[in-house]
Amino acid sequence: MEEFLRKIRPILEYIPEVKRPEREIPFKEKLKWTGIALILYFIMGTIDLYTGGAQIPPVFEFWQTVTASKIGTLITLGIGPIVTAGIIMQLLVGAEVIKLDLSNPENRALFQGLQKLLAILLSFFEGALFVGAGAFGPLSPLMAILLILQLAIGAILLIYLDEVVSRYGIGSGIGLFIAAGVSQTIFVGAFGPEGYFWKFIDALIQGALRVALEYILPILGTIVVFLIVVYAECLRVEIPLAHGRIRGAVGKYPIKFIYVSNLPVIFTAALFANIQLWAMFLDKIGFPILGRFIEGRPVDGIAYYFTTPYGLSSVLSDPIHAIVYTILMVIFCIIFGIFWVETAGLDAASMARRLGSLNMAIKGFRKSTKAIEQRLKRYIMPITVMSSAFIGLLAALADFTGALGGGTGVLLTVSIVYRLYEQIIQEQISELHPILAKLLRR
Amino acid sequence: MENSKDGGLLALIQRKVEELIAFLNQCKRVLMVLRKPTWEEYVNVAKVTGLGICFLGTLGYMIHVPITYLKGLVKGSG
Repeated sequence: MEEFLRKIRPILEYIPEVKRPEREIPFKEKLKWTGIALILYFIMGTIDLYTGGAQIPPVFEFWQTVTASKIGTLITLGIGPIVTAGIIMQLLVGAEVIKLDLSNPENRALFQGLQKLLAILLSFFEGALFVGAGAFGPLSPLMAILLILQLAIGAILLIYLDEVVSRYGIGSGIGLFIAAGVSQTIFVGAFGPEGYFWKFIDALIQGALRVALEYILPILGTIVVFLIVVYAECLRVEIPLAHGRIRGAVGKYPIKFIYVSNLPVIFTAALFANIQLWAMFLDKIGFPILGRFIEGRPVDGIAYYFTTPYGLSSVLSDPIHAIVYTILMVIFCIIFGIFWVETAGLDAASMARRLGSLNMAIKGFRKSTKAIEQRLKRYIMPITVMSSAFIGLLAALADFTGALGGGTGVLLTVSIVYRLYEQIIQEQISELHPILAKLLRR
Repeated sequence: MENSKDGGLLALIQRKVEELIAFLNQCKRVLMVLRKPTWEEYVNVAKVTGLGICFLGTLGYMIHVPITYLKGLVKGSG
């Protein structure tokens, strides 16, 4: 595998990239860059594609949440290509299909270069899938090509915007765009021109209580999911690092219970969206192997079970579908969670090394990372599996509430916004007293 | 030959079950050291994330709604 990467290294170097910052970027400037990227993202969401009058059937909402996209605009594909490339790389490296030791920086750079090349290729490929799946109805070949180009350009712009945020801004572009997209959907969906909130009030005025309930439920669902996810985000596991002989835990090492962050959920939700896109495409060109569709709704095959049953009514109408969906969500979250822990260096070994390097003087504990690693290993794997399963279950149940922006969307947005807040605090600390920051940087 | 293969199979299943039980015990131990947030900590995080979502939401709203209205006019009259 290493030589394969050596061979395509010149190609990877050929792809233009955002210049890496030479000096440490002051916090204010990071905030400015993040703000610019955010506003650009929203503006791109208002630029409509030239579709030569073709109408867009409203069946692609499943694509919008996790790919932070807006169907029919320049960012119809959103971060779909970036995330799909991430999934493919995760599976290849995680399942050791590609044997790549990610700890040495040179391999890591190659890994990221390959992932970016893949994302660019996927931008064109997913654009073709969208057009092929009938997103814009029947089209002349010229119009189809023109549309695929527009879709690809929009997605590639987001790839570079994501790079700008990751290098010059705070947090990652992917997280920022998903959080921005979902927050916008919540506010526009509730208080926009045909906002649920206004309809709720109209219905109340006219005294149609049943209708009013139907409009207020999604808003209540959003709030309930928000409160639950915040609670989950606060859960901490305090690993006692005390030496056996000394009674009472001496050193406590707090780890977030939602340990694997939210990338496993992003990967899982994106995988489900891709499966449905593929199924639609195959059905359109006459090979419904993944499932048949009627007006854009899957009716059988695996695509049916991979779609999200939004809202209580759809859950009650087919509970089996909801149960199977929940199980699939949990299983895939665990798989991606375990892969993610390895590739992102959150596993016990690297964790222990970091702890060791922080010369964590734990009384009575031989400062050998081996001893710490043994202790962590007993905790990290169970935490990874349990937190991944927990998020998967939470995401699925949240979807059933029909929350605005989707339950998974709200779940992701809360943890992304909280992580952004943590990073802002970390940046400010390193600005004010760099020594303290070095100690704190876990 | 036959029973050793079965024996092997049985041993394999046996080992798998033991591994599972050991793993579940580890999970139980983790749950014991799980620390629930205090009310004050919970409210703090809720406020922070709530504010963050409202900021992103209103910014998106301010950009989306006016432009959609204008597009409506343009498409209408265009």
